[in-house]
Amino acid sequence: MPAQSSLSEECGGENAALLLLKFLKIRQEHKMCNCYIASVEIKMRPEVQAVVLAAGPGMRMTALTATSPKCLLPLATLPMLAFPLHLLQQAGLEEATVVVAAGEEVRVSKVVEQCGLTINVDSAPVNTSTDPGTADSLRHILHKIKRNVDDVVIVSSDLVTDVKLQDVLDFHRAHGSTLTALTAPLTPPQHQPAPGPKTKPFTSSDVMVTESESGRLVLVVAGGDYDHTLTLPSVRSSKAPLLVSTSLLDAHLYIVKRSILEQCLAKESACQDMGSFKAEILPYIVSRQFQPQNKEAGPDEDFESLVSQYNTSVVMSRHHTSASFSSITCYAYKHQGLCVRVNTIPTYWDINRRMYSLIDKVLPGLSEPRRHPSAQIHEKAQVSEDSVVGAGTLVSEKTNITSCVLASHCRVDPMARLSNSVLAHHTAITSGCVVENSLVRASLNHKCVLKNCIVTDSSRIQEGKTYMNEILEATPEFV
Amino acid sequence: MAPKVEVHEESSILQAVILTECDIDYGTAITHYNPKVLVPLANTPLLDYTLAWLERCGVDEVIVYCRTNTHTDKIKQHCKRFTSRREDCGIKVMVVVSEDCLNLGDAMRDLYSKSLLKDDFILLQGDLVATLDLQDIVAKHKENRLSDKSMIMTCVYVNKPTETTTTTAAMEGEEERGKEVTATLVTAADTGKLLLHRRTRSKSSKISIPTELFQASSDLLTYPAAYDPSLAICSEVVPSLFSDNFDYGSRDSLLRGVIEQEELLGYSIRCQVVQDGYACRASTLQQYQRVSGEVMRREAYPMVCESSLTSHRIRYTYDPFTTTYWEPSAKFTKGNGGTSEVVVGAGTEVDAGVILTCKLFQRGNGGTSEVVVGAGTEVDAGVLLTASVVGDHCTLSDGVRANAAFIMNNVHIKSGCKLDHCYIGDDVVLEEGVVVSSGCVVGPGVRLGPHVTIPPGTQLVSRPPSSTPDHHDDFDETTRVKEADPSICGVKGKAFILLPEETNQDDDDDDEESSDDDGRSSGQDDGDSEDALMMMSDDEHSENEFRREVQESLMNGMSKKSAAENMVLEINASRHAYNVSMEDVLTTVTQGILRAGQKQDGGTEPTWPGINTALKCFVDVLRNYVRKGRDQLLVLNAIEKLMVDSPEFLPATQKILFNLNQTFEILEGEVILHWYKKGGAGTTAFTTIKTSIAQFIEWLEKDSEDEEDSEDEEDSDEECS
Repeated sequence: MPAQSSLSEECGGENAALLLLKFLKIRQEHKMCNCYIASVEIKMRPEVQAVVLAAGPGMRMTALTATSPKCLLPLATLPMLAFPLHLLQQAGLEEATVVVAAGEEVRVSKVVEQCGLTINVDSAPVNTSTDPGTADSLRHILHKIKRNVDDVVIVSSDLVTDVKLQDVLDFHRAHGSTLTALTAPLTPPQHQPAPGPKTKPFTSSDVMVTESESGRLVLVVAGGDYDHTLTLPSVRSSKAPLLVSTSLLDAHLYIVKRSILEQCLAKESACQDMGSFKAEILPYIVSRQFQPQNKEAGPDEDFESLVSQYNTSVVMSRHHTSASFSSITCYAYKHQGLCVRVNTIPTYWDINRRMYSLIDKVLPGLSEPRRHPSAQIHEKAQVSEDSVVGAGTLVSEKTNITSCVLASHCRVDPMARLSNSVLAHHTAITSGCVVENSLVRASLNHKCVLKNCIVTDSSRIQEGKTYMNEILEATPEFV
Repeated sequence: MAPKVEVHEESSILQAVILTECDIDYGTAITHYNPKVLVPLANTPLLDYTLAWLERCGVDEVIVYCRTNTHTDKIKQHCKRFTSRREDCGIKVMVVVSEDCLNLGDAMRDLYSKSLLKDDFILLQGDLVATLDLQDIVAKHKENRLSDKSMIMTCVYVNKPTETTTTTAAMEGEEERGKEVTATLVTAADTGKLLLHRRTRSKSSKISIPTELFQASSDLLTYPAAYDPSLAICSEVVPSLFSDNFDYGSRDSLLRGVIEQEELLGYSIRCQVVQDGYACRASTLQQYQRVSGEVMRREAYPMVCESSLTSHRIRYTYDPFTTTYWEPSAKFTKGNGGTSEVVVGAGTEVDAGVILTCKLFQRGNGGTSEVVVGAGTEVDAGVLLTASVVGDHCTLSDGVRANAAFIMNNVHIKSGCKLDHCYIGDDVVLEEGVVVSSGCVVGPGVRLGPHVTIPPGTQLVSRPPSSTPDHHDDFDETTRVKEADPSICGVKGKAFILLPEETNQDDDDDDEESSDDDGRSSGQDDGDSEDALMMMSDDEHSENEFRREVQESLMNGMSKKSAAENMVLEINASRHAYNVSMEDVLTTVTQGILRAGQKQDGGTEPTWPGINTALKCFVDVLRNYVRKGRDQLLVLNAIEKLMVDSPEFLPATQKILFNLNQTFEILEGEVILHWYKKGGAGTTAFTTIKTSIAQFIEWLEKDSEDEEDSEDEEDSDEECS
């Protein structure tokens, strides 16, 4: 049969839709029966691929990350990683590649079922002993990025936001953007002070320069990486005023064109030594916008130059503000709502405390009740309305709990008094403890008073003592 | 909004101050006879645009501030005419005359001492054509002042795309001037407080922002090049600030002073960048042409050509299809010739059949169609007018072609004349076949022709100005007028060429600016360059130090054969270290190169081969510093002064000049001749030089007659700017 043979010849790597079309044509010519049609299945081509960077060690919150990987730290009752995954899932993504520290793959993949998410997680372990940067992590999983997607969503595991990722994706496509970064106004934590010793707030913020109307990114300087003067590139195309902002939070959610990401991560690229995506590769891509195009470009650009050479009817779309087709344009999506990066103790503390009011906004559709049905709260216990109580948590009688977060499987013994505090999973509070404004990640086995403390090691607690503004953690053993 | 109403009642009078002595002038050929503010733009004096606009914006009292000179009465009369139409209900115009006002700062100090300014007032220049919503701007200013007592001034900028700059022949000076009217602004995004103000120096320069500004405001709004119409809403503090600080000359210096000493003075300045509305200053002739076109294109609506701004009656007939305006009494006679020459498709028949043509896009973006014809003007058939304005009672004979020509009243242009990008004053007569090239200014009363071609950028006046009462003492001294020359102005002609030295007028600002501004361009130093050369710098020591360093760099460069860029870099580094002005650098470099040739040769006697190798080696270095005609003169003066110190160079002078002129093309023959004729730098060595280069000069003179046209073209750039 001639039709069959020609079909099999063309099967080598052709697009399914095209194949079907050809097949239909052949069928018309040869009046073949319908049975062949059923065997061709068309699947929608995914346009975006998501990468969650969750291998970060949490350098700015070492007191908490000593015992648990950062991406699994609980925010209220859920692990941090659930938030970006949920964000992706809400946008209709079915799959996400999660870069995790080697050894944590199993725990990470459990997050999905634990939190009732439906997104498929493909965890990619990366060896953290060499302290890889975000760019190194991306290089590590570059082979996992499918050749047929247009854009890659890169999101950090510590992002808590109420943005609709779909809106950001729409913005990205509508502007023909090469790279879109999610930004939001930087807001100071509402709940202060955070427990632990007083620390100076982290001051040097990023500088983002955008065209005030379009939101086009002109310059990105990562925190404090500037001298006495900041030199803006000359933007000849427009007279729009430039907004030089130090009060914008770079949310670490980027939508990048696959081609440009691959270019930047390739071995021979100028970025091959760059370790951080945000601090190095992002400024590099943004600055490339204003550099003259180099001729020796990839195959895509060759094609485009042919198009522009031979097809005079090609009209620039409004996305193309500059003359060249292959030009890079970067935009900042300015989100006005909640957007927090949980990467320091104050932000971690703040988000935990606010989670009671935020949970509907940041996890819409995910039914995680503020008071889990399996929690057993004694009727004589006083638990304030704005407290979060996780699954299997046991609150005994004569306890007083105000504005607290109790994660799952905690146990609060009688006569304990908790206020404005956050308890991690499996924490037991022995009777008579008084805990105020503290972060408790280990069981309090002795009666004590805690004020503004972080507890990660229960052996440091002594009977009847009062602790203030301290971090009670396991002392590292120097042998 | 309760407080706003209260303020409005409190300050019932809104004042405006119009400065008629604008910082930039049109040149003596025009302003000698007519003050700049009374120069008609589309047949309406510039001042009327400003007054009409202020009137419409509800300004109650206008102070027209001018200097005592021959034009004072003219301005007074004009203002009286303007107000007499309005009886007592309209705007009140007061002309304030001062004896010794040199700049904006002086005017402010004078007005302060006369205590004429009561409250917030609007400060503007008389050459501004604008339609901005002043009421809105003033209301915002007052509102801001209520909330922030330290705010003393609101500067108004227009953020408009300036790509519309029509690059036509006469507009070549545009880019150079354009940077003076735009500014780079950095403001606090939330309040609009001005944090940094810098004149835009070049088109594509990168903007650098001091990061310490982040302490003042976390979000900065940066305008890379906002157009500055020199418009400000000032509080009563501003004049007092000017009178406290005698060194404040211009608004720019006030801005700098207030921003730099914010902690000391406790004042701040805000700016409003307006997006809507029109505002443009007809500051230079190039800008004049641009504004004229924009007014004719009705961009300054409701100020349009057909309605008189003084009486508001409709004076012209307007044809929107071709953007032509004509007074009903203008006669357009019918003829049989000429129409065939008219550009196809864009003509419109007017009255008796004369064709006012619009050349649409004939020449890239330069083609425009706007034409205004005044009362009683007779236009013959076959006249081709594009983008031009013709005043009252003119006659334009058959075959006259005018492109972007600004023809005033009572002008008679005979057949076959061609006008291009020029200004023709009152009562001018152009005989048959006169060609006025681009950038020319033909002053009032001039007769030209028949059959002469005026080279580009020439300024012609009817009388030698030295015989007339002058109004700018300092100005006229630097103006040299040649005798009327029939070869230039024609057999029936009566005209004198005005050879303008670069005027001293616009240096007031620049001098102050230069103190902190290393980006000072050589072009702005011109005014005082000659003086600086003669007097030498006070600080002899650093001068010598600098000279020694440059000499050293040059010697090293010669032995190592360094690239010109590196040499320039080295010299500029030394320049910054010793804070030497551009012209001193040029002098030092020129002399240094010649000396390097001498030393390289080994002997004490300079020989031509040694000098020649040095010149060859550093020709690119020298070229880097020689940018315009003035710089060439500096080179010549430098050479002359070298002869004073070391006469042993004398024999080689002729060869040096010849090579700089012919081989390296750094010095233009024209410039050398000009320099030669006016007696060089006037040092003792000139007489000896004169004899030694006589042969070369003679050759040049012969040469220049042959090549006059080509050289004149090059020359025009600097003169028309």
